[in-house]
Amino acid sequence: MNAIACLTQQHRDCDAILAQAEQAVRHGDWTTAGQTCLRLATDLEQHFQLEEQQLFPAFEAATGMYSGPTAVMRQEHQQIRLLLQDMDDALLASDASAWLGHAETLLILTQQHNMKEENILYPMCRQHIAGFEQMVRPGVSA
Amino acid sequence: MSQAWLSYDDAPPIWLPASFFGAAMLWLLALGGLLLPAGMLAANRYHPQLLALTHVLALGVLGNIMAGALLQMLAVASAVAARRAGRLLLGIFLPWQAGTALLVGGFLHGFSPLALQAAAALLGAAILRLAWHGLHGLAHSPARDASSRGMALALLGLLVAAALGLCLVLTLSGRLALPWLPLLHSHVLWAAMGWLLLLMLAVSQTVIPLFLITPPYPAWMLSTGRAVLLLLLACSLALLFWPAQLWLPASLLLIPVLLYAVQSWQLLRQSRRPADPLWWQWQAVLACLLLGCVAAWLCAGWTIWPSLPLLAGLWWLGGAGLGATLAMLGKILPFLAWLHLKRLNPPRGLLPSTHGFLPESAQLRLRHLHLLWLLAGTLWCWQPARFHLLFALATLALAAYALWLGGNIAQRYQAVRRALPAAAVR
Ligand SMILES: [Fe+2]
Repeated sequence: MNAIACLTQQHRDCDAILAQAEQAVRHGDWTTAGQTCLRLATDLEQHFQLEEQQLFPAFEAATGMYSGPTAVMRQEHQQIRLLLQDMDDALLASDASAWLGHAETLLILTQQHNMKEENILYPMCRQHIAGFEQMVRPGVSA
Repeated sequence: MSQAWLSYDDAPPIWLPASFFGAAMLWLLALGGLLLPAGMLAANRYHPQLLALTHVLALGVLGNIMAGALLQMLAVASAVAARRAGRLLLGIFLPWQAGTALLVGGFLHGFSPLALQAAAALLGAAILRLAWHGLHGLAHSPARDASSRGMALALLGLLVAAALGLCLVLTLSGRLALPWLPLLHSHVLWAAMGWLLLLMLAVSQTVIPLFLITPPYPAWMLSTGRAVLLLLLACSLALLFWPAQLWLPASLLLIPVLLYAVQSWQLLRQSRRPADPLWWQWQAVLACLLLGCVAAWLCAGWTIWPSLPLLAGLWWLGGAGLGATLAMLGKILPFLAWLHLKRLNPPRGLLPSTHGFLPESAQLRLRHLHLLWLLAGTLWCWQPARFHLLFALATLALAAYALWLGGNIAQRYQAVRRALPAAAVR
């Protein structure tokens, strides 16, 4: 698997976990929902760390663009983290309708964020970062 | 380095897509109003009232939603910036509304040449501006995904449909002497398939897997879009030069629709989020696509039942087109409201989630209302004199409910904005 396919797969894996958590909440199974949400937060954070600590700095160094797209991506990561907190609060209160609302917002936000990364940012990274393929390896997702 | 690249944050301001969406709902209301007088007493696809209604639905309702969503989608998925939103409003939105109004007025007032020609000029200008924005932007965008390429194909389809419409207007008003019937059939085919179907194909390749968490559409879906354009070209040539051979490309056009529907159904079956209202909405859209294209295909050989072309149009535009656009609006509009407010950094707890702007229950009610509307429309196509009032009232009810939901979203948006600390709003 090449680097772009690998990063894209990480997005898809997180989507699948979110869908799993949603089904648990819709069925009122808060225990499963709690465990699944924890896994979602961990996996997402791992993926964000890879991007924010390695990929984005390398891109910024290669292109000299520090306040461009990577800044927007970082800001959206922050918004995603805040939504995960909102979902956590709803989970603690066992408030299904609040949780589902935040989860849908998270879903759309992540999807349009992923779309920007997969369609634009990753292809540009491949073009500009010398060691891009080595930076991302399947299985070693951090 | 590509300029498009810098434009991540240059998604259009919320008032740009909101203008298109709001106008679409008002046109839906106008559609109900135009249905009130019993103009067409028996099904007749060439009746002026029917032409007016078709264009209110196609240009006023669907066209506005599609144009607004396309501008948004181009910015987010393909990094085609909508930087000068004011100019886009002037160049696309205003002539689009004025052109549609003049076209409809022209049909209803004895095919007034002056109104029709003015309409063609305005709509032509608006469509050229939209196509230029999209095609020029896509040519310079680093995005090479199926949706970006598919949107370019759909814009080509739109350009051809508009050019054919222009030729029709010039022929009807006596300025050109072209064979109008082949032109008319070509215009309908390019608008319905080259523009509507191809845009649906392009957009759904991104949004269906993303919203419903399904596997991606296979790569050959993009070739299906290209095949549709080639078959449309073959149909137009056959209509002009070899009418006896039209059945071949016209029948072949059924295949891409069938392939798309079957493929989409397979993906929906594998969806991880079947509880989302969009899941059922999309099933209905696919069913309407199939009903519509089979009805249209039967029209060619089976002319004894004049309701058939009306049904084809209703199911294609009103069933698949309106079903798909309403479903998309239900997702896009609450999220845009949320996103724009989020950028103002509201304190925690102030900003509701997307469901706070549009609850799932409202989306469900809208879907049911749309299906009832479609049923009323089917009865109207069958016996217009008997069911025109029912269809008119159903249209008014659907429009009123959609406008009310839109108004709620706007009110919520303003309420959060007003509650923001002054520093955030600037
Ligand atoms: Fe990412």
